[in-house]
Amino acid sequence: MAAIDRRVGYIFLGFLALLAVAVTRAVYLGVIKAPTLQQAAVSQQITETPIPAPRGTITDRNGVELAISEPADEVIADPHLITQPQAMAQVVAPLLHMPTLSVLVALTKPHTGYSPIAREVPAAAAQRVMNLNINGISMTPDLKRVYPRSWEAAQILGGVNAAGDGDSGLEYYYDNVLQGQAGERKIVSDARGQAIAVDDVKPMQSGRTVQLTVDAALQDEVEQVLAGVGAQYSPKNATAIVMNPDNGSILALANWPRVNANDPGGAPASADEDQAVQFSYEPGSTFKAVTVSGALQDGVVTPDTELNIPSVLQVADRQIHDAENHPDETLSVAQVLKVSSNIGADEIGMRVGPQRFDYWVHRFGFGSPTRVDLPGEQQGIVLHYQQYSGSSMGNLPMGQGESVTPIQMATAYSAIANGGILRPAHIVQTIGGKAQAPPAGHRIISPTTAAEVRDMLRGVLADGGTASGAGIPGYDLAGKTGTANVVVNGKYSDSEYVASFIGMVPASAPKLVVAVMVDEPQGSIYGGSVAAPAFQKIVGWAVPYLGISPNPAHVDTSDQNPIQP
Amino acid sequence: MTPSAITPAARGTRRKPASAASGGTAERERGRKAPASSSRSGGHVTKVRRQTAPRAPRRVSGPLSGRTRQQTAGTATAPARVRAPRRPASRQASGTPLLARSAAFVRALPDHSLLDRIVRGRAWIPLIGVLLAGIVAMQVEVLKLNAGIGRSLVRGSALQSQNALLRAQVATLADDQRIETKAAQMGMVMPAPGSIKFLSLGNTVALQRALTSFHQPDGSAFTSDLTAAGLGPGSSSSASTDSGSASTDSGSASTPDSTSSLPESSDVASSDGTTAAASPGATPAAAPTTTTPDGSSTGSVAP
Repeated sequence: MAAIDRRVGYIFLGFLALLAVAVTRAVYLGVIKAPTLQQAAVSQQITETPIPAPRGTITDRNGVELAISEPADEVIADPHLITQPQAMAQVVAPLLHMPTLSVLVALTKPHTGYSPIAREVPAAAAQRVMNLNINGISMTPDLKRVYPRSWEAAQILGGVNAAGDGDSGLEYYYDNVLQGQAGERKIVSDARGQAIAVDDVKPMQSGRTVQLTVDAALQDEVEQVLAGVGAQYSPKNATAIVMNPDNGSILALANWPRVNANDPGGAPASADEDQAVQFSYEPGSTFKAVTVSGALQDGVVTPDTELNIPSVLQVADRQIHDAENHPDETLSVAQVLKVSSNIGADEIGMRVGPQRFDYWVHRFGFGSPTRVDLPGEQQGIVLHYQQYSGSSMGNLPMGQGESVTPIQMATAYSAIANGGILRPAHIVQTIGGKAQAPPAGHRIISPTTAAEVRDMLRGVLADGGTASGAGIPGYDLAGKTGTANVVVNGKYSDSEYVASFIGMVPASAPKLVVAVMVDEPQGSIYGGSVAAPAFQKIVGWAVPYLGISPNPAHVDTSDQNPIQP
Repeated sequence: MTPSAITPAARGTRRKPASAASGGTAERERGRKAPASSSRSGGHVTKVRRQTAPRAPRRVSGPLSGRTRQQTAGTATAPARVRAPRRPASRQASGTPLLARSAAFVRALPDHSLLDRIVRGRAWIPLIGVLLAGIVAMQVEVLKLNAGIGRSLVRGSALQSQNALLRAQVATLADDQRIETKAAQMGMVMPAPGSIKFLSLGNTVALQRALTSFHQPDGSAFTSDLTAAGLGPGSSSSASTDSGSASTDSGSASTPDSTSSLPESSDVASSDGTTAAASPGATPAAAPTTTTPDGSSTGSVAP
């Protein structure tokens, strides 16, 4: 019995010893090594990952996405942990579609634990790299700005820089609303690495959606038309604007040369500019509508006022000619616009007088930005009447000597189109689903004057007008051609011109104003032959697309049957 | 302890006759507890319990001085029978306010016999065991839930990413230029702006001819033509997906040879005078109100 008790005692002592060892170990781990182990546990179990905030989407007026944020990842290496860099580089490089040498350089970067291998890697490719389970290679979630329609509206949309901030175009102008707020997520993982607790320490806020007034289909068509102009006339650049004159919304704004928004570096820097707001040029004859509008409003002429048009008009030290030589003749104000008589425009301008002419120029918004919500808008150059020289009234009324932007011209013609109210153009319809109130306009000419000018501008597209071939069957169009010499080294060039056309449809109650400007076309130089056909193509496509009905008065009622039975 | 409360001792002895205790002291000991030692006096108490009476008094805290000598001596074999005097019904009903009575009831609850039995019972052991197991299970479930949430969040993020990628794809596929290029490959043409003409309602002859030329489009014939051209469903299309090369000039749009056999629902003449057969819907601009030119070019602008 005593032996049994002794054995039991030994066993008890043995267990006691084991318990003592366990307690000692626990004290060692729990007290002495506690800080180190705790730190290790935190670093292994708790992960704090940033949640990148996607930039707001930019859509057209119908919700077609023009700019979106797409998930991408940044693949990072910790060179300290890479044991076989060469072998790793050979494995990783093909997955990232990168040269092995570039990857190797990143993997062997000295004196750092953070070496980015690749940025904006598509999520699938990054995941393939992660599946290799290479110690020392990790990825950070990121976002990539993508323009699904690559070339479309690239200059309007602009782009973002490497940090994801708006860099140009609308991306820059509306950066504060497009930019989201990145969040932070804390993930506690178990020993197997499975998340057992996820907490969004800082919630992520996406950027707000910006809906444009632009119609993607129309924009695409306008860009194609400009591409055709570019291919045919090889101009320096070209731009076209389609506006709704009633509210100033821009339905399309295209530039040529085109730029791939996903590869802005692939185009010259000048191509990145939005010519519609950043290009200043002398408007030429398209400005005559402004001169005539002012004169009509001041009551110094009427559409039927007869003007004596000499073959040459001497103004101070300048001799003014028309585009085509002609003997002395008499033209009405309407005919002056129809045939685009420079001398006639000057005579009308002189009847208005320098001071009032200057008033009307500024009244139509020239010399100051239109306040369109696009970045980098130029205001043009318009002299004050006190700065006029003796010959100024010889060239200003016909569109020489002042510098304007295409958007200024389109806005001014919109005022003529909508009955006399100058409305600033705008391109954003809603932000975050909230409608943006269109900028308020102000009346500059009376509805009667506007209607008279529109009526006179019809003649430009009629037989004998400078754009007689640009008509569209069934539709009542009005517009004005412009062919302006480019100033080179302070002198008007004889070989470089800006061809332009600004028109509206239907002329009686315009729903669209289309401005086309072609800078230094080759081969042909006239607005009627270079820009007007582009106008015709744009309007020809737009009117049925937008549901603008033809004018019954212009429908072909001849018995000639165009139908192929 | 409130005066109206019934002490455990009193409760324990309520079923027995009052003779088991000295009736004279009952009034004096009203509201007082019997000493705890009396309930632990060997098997005597056990025996009493088996007989379901009288139950040992609860131990109570408080000064010893207030207790009776008999209780403190621990010699009593039976708990003191203390009976709470009943108050006159009229006083209970009318004299004491309802609030006070409710408060008194609440205060008396801890000494309720049912509660006493529950507290003293052995059911606590399994109950606490079950509760502990429940707590552990709950913790495990919370961890599982967290893990599930984590997985869901990760999955949600993945789906969002996938959604964004798909949106980008949809936007790319919906590119008008791409569609136009595809349509051109299928033999569809975009009419030139000047080639669309409108008829007056007064021109009855033209209208009659237009009406007679309208007919239901033959979808199967179109599909078979596409298939023959290698563009139909099931055939591997060789059409390029890149955009930007389509021209709006119908005259320059490529027209496969097979289009000659397309339905003649709306023949659209291109600006160069050649007639290309367009499928229904291919030319949204050429709505039923529009007709095609008779081959003469109307859209060109004299330079």
